[in-house]
Amino acid sequence: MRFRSLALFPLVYAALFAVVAWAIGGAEALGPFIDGQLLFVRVLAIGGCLAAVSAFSSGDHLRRAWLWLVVATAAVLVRDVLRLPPWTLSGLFGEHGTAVVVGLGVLSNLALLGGVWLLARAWKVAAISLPGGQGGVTIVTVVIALAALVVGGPGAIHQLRELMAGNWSALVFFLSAVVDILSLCLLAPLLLTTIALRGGLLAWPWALVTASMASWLFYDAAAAFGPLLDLGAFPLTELFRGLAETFLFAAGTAQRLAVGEVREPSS
Amino acid sequence: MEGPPSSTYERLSERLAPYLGRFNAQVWVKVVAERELGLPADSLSGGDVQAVIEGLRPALNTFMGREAAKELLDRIGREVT
Repeated sequence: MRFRSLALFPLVYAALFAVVAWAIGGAEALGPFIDGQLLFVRVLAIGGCLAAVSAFSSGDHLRRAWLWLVVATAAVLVRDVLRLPPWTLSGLFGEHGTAVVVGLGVLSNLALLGGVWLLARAWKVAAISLPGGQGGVTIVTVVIALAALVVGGPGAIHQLRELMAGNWSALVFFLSAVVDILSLCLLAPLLLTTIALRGGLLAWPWALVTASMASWLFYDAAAAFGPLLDLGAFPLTELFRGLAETFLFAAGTAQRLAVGEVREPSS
Repeated sequence: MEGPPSSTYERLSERLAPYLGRFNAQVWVKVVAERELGLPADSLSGGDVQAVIEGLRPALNTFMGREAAKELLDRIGREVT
């Protein structure tokens, strides 16, 4: 029951977000609401990742993975705070402030990649087989990689063109886009590990972290193709970002609960 | 009326099932029995339990952490041997 509630929480959050965003309407009025809820979901996600870290001991493989996810979310939270008024770091310190903000974004992306990479190779460390055999793994990986390229590729190519035209400030955005695509490609082993553990308590954190990464895929898709949908000021990307962070919170909490259940079975 | 006593394989799988799912628990015990002991899972006996537990340890260490895996495997060892 606790795990099902955790899985429902991000969906309820997204529904509430959509209702409030529709009710507020105009882009200008949406700003403070979006900023506030963004900080809220970032803090939630950090809390969930810390809960997962606390389930493990020093040296455990998944402890390292969750620690990287804490770093990723904390870095992006600091970046978000620095971008808010009255700080607006880039406004106060010009190019240096902008570099700090961009650097924190890149650090967050790299840490996310590191954390997801460690999660994605858990099945190898555990020496278990993934469902579908090598053929199945290859097919799922190719399909997800294609989806990641479709949604993240145009942005990466745009930044690469800027870079080749001599705009060196595009380098970090290009790197960020590439890291984003690589992280999304790791959805395949996460999904297959979830399937490999299906039916047991340990599947819950994997299912929820997979949902978080899938939400980032939809976030990129909304950023790339959202303008074609004619949604007016509705913040579709922010809805998926909220989903990604709340699913990460749910995944970390589920990880803590699942390991706790192993140590102290309730029945 | 009680049914026939369950086999070592079934008892091991049952205790892992809440965490891994019933199907996976059976598969993991089968794979470890064949890999570590060269035996089909159905012919496992009480004397084989410790070897199966040691075979399961690396995977469980990864997915639930070493401390939780140790507690679970100690509990299974006591209950199934």
